[in-house]
Amino acid sequence: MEIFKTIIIILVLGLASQQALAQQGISENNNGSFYSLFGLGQPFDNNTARENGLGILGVSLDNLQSNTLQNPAMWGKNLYSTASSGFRISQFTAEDQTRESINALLESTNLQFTFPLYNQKLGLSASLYPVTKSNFRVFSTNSEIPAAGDTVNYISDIKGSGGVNKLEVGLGWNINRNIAVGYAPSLAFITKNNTETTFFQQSGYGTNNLDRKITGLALAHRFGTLLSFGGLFNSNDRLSIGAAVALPIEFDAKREISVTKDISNQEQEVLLRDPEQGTVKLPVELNAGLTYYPSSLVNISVEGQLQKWSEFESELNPSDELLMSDRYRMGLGAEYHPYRLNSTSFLSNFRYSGGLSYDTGHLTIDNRDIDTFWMSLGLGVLSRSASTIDLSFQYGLRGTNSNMLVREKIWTFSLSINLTERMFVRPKLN
Amino acid sequence: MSSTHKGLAAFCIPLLTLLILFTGCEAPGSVGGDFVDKSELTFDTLSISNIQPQSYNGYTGRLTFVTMGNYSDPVFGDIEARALLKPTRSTSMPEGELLDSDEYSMQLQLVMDSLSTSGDTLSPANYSVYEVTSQWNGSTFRLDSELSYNETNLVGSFSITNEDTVTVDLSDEWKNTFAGYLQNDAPDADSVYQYEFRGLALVADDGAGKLSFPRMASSRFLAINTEDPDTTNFSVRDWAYNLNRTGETTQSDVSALHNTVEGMLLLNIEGLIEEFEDNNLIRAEIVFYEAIDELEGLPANHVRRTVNSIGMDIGVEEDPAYDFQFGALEATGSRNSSDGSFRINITNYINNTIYGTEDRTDLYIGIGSNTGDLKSALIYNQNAPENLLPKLIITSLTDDEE
Repeated sequence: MEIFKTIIIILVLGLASQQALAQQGISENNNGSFYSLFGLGQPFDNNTARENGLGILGVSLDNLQSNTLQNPAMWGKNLYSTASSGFRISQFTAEDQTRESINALLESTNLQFTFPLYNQKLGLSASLYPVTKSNFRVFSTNSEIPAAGDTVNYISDIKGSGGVNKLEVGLGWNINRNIAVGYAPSLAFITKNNTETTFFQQSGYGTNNLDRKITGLALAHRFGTLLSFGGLFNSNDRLSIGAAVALPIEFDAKREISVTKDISNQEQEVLLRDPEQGTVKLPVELNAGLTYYPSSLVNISVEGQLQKWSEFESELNPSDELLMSDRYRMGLGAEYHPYRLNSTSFLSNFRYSGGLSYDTGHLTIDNRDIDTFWMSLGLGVLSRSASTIDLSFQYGLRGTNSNMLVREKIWTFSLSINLTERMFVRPKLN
Repeated sequence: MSSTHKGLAAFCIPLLTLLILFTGCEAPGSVGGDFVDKSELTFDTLSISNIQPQSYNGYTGRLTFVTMGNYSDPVFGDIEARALLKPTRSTSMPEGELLDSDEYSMQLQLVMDSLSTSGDTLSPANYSVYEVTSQWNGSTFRLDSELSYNETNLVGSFSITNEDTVTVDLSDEWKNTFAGYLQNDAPDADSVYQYEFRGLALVADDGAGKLSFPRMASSRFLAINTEDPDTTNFSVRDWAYNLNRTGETTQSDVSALHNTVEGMLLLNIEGLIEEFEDNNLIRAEIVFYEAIDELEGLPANHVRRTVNSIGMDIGVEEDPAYDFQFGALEATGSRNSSDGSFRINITNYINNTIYGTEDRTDLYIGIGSNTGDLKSALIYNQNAPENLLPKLIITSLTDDEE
């Protein structure tokens, strides 16, 4: 258990320092998909590394031990108090027909705590997680000729950051052995910023920093249900059917455009013009799937998702609405649990998974869906307690480089830490 | 440690190393740049029409140089400049020796700014040195301050062509007058010297055809022992020059700027910048064009000093001439020899006006300086042809929301 803790501490400290450096702009590994440029950013799939390894959402992956955000109904089935978080490290190789760029991204994922209020009956979840993320970075070289014989060359470094996040507290109720339901209200907030730094080759033109910030606040609601049935085809099998819906979110949003100017010999951030107010509406999200457990050693999942991005609305950037289209996502994966064989083989100490998923994307640009195909492998590292570390590797292909669009090859490594403990339980024997 | 955990450690360490290397490979580029709403550079050129000529009575005392001589400039007028110098009395003669003794004589040594001459470069300019009779003080002396001198009593004379240094023999009578103040050991001797001894005026003879610029930190009075070669140096305690300009003949489309602040321009661009208050302003500059063509036509071997920069000040203090000559300039613009323009970067002023508390709207353009060597520039004003009008050029980054 000691090495388990040591690894966790090292990972947490490493991640924290990396995030701190990224906040200060020191770390470069803070740039992700080019397609996070549009709207409020790229929809963020809040999957644990285990779910990533399976290539599924996790809405039907019945799991008594570890956390998931995907289905509030599952929180009622928890036996343990859990704390989970993790990070992803990704490399995006983007190419159009003539150019290539490589961005690297190290990002924390969700932070979630669950507590069984009444063992395997009623559970509470508190979490902070992203819904969309913007993390693109693009350089652009330009020149203008203000007068004959005079050329002004400049480079724009344009970066996106932030997105939509949720602070969520929810309850799951395991009504009986077949039905569980859950509800999760949350405070959703937008903090998205596009920073444009312009560097000039000529003297006399100072470096210019411009921020386009969108902020907003709204209440959001999610519901989930999980149906479980056993003994379908043999005495040991089990089938879980899960579904969850996230209702549309309507933000009262504000956009501010600010610039950094030298005023009275001091650099100051000033508003370029009066802030704009407007409504931004995130669409409904439907998740559903089933997981079949033919035995305790294997489970197979098929899950799908619909995000009605065609209903996305933004009074602040109406042109973004024209790019949005409904996002369909399908995942198929299987998991193998050899550790349940009580084998002494080293390789029998882990949980293995693999999966495929296809995502039509939420953008349609020049009549082309910006779709993504993912191949996934996962590895679960178990401890003597119920705590786990899950690792997953994914390779994805996103978009196309035809029609002057951008194709991205994505490598992603995810790590999730799931700490479990039986808390608030009075020992029967001293 | 169990074999599982040993295996895990063996797995995680190379994995983390690999990941660090993996994320170190980053080469952000311009892929997708065509889709990004980026700001574009735009240039707005506006003609400045609210321009008024200004004239001030500049300070001419205790500057780096004095201007002296006569010159008839076909553009900038007939200039007559007379220098005033007064030696220090804080220097002591060698022990036991007196300046009024017969073995001593006095000279004035003028060290010229040899690279700077206005006028005829070949012909000599003749000067006469007289004793000043009017009260004066270098720290308050101005262009038109009263100057009188005793023309009936010549103290010395000299001639300047292209010399670096000119030495002028001064009369024994004047030497002895000075010696009287130098050897006065009364408690109020310095005060008496200050108010009673008026120094020398260097006056160019008519038709001298040249302006010269002695450097005052290097120039000095010399007391020379003719029998026992020995020299005592007296630095210049106070100095100034008086200047009279007549017959300036400039066309209506040009304005003369003088570093003596006789010629300046007052601009008001308040109305022009109002429409740019919502712009992401990157640079703002005022452009003036030098009337190079109108400065041509000097006689052979005559030169005119080049002005390499003009400056801008904002607002007027109690003593504008002092402010324009000795105060810190708000901005300066160097001469662009390729198109004969002066470009003054006023970005800070505009930013302070739009975003800060700057409420002064009068912009003073000139070449006022504290150097003392007379310089002038001729620039096109609001009556010039369209392409030569003074301009305000606003460079902005415009975003898609505009």
